[in-house]
Amino acid sequence: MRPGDIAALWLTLRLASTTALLLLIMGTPLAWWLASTRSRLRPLVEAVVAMPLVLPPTVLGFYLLVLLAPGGPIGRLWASVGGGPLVFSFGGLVIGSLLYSFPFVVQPLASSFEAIDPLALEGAATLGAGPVDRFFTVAVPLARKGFLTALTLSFAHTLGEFGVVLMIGGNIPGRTRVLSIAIYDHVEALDYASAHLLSAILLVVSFVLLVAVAALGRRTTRLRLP
Amino acid sequence: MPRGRWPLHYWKRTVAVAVLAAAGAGVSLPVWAISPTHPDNLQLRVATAANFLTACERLGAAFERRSGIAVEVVAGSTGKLYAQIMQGAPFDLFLAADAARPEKLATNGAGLSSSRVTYALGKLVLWAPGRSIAGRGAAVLEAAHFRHLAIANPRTAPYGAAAVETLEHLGLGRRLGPRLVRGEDVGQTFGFVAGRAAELGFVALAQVEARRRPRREYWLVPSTLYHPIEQQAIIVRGGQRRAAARFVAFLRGAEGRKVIEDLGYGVP
Amino acid sequence: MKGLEARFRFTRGALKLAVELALGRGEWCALSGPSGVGKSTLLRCLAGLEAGVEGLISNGGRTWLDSERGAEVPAHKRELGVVFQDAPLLPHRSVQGNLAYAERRARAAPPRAFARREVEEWTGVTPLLERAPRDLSGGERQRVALARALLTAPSFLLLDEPFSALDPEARDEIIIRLRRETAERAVGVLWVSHAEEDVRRGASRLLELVPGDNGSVVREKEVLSRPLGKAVEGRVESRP
Repeated sequence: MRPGDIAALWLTLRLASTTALLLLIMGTPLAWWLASTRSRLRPLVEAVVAMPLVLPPTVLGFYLLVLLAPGGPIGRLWASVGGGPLVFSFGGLVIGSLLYSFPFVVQPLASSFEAIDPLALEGAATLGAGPVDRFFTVAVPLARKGFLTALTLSFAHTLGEFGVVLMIGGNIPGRTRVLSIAIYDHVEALDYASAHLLSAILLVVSFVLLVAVAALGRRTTRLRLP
Repeated sequence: MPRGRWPLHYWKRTVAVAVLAAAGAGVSLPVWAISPTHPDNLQLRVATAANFLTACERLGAAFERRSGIAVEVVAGSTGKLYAQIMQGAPFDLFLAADAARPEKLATNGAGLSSSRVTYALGKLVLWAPGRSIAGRGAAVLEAAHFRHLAIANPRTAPYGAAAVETLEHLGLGRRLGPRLVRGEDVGQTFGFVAGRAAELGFVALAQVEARRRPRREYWLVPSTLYHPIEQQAIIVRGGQRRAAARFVAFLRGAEGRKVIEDLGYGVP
Repeated sequence: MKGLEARFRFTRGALKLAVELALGRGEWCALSGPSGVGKSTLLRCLAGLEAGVEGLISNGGRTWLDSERGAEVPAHKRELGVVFQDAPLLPHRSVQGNLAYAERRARAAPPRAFARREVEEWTGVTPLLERAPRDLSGGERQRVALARALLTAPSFLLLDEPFSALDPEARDEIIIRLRRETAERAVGVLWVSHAEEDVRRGASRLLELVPGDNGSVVREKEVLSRPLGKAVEGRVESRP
């Protein structure tokens, strides 16, 4: 382990948690809309949401680099409202991660919402619960598993993010040098011992998270026969 | 089957099969592309550092005209190619961007140590697109009217190490340190500057010349400011030794040297 | 005081309704009719659970639906208590939680509202309070559903086969008690049931939903000779 690897670890954890929380906030309304709408736009929106799953991360990173650079449309817009540079910054990584892990939040949530018995929601309406009330007192508790899955998956997914960070990060220690980049660097520099250690850490953390998701999933949705 | 339209699951199945078929074709396509047009013993497989790719291809074509041996070039980052060769990748010759990796191959026995030679000298430039900095590089760095200065990762790319050396020699290492952004290799570094994500950066002369950038846009870093970037070649053990040796000799011969110099490298 | 008045059309697939009916406050109406004619759908339209209902629905003079003017009061703002066949309880809350959910959103305070302990007792729900909905039998679930609907302090109750899983004695008890409680508070009841016996026991008017040319229509079948406490004579429109 070299100095700066701990910093990379903390940076990675910060990035993953910031992304996961922001995604929950942004993704929940969209997931709810997807689950309850009958609009013809729905397949289109679902496809857009799923894009980061099929696009190579480097494509995502490449377009982000173009858009977020000081000369790019978003970079310029951001600068005009007084924002700092988006490339080579933690903020830029967050933006990249939000896009990269977006489907990992929206899809499980939308599935969970869809699985809610609409009659239960109707029942709540007849008891006097308005739409917002129904969402928070019925939909959210019934979609508990979806929230957990979304949170954990987006966190774990962002932990391993590489291609996007590679394109827009600039490998700045303490700011954009995340664990996956550090591992890559170690390999390039033929420091396989460090690469092994960091990779093992990443592997173990991801595995533990996924086991947690699976275990929790089993507990809340045991199959009950009538 | 209901009259009229096909049920949805039929469409879904057809689409799924089509997608799988396309994916299968796509995956196997590179295999077809790689299959040689010549039988194995008349083809040389060369692994080259990414920054030398253009030169290598040109040299390979010239060599084939002269010798009848076809040259197949695979480019990549030096570190990755090193790792692949260590794992038995079927290359005959390795053209690295530095001397360290070929030296390691020799030590590990994966390369023939007697064959290790310098084939080109990398030349470092400071490039600021859209600006006139020729001859004024040190002053431009000193004035520091920029937010980001791109360099290649000094730990893994010799051009990056040279850039850091240059900054240290100019006494600007500490001051400009926070503004450094690192590309994984000199290719990505060039990309950062070309895309204006960073206002300027240290790249290879070969790159700015290949893109025909105006001469005023870059400052040729004096060779006194950094250790020479010796790009070395080494023949891989178990490959086609004789053909590889002939190619190396060609690189160091008059015709080869001319090509290399034309493309912005120094020659040993 | 005006009761629940409705005159509307509704179409969904092959099902068509062309309904005109008026219920008085405190009046018990039973609605029967052949299977598939749209009785449950009628109740859903009154409750505001169906989109695309065209016509007028009002309660006590307050307009719930005026499709011509584009005015519609959403389901959660209609003062209705609803017990639909097979409709689930809130699965993530215990019986107690379900009742509390209803009570917290009650539209009125006592004395018009139903007192919780009392309702729990006569609906037979008291021993079930800690249980989860999925652990209840069919009959138990129906008791809870009724209690829950009452606790919202509705001005009208819409019941769709609410007691199908209860045995006859239990059913009797509940019907008799319910009749008294609703009469005391002038709560009207529209009750869809196939069991004529029960219907006759509780209702003062028998309505029938029958297929018509442009949709199913409501027909007055019989007015029973037993007037209820504070029942109001509602206007009745019968169609040939």
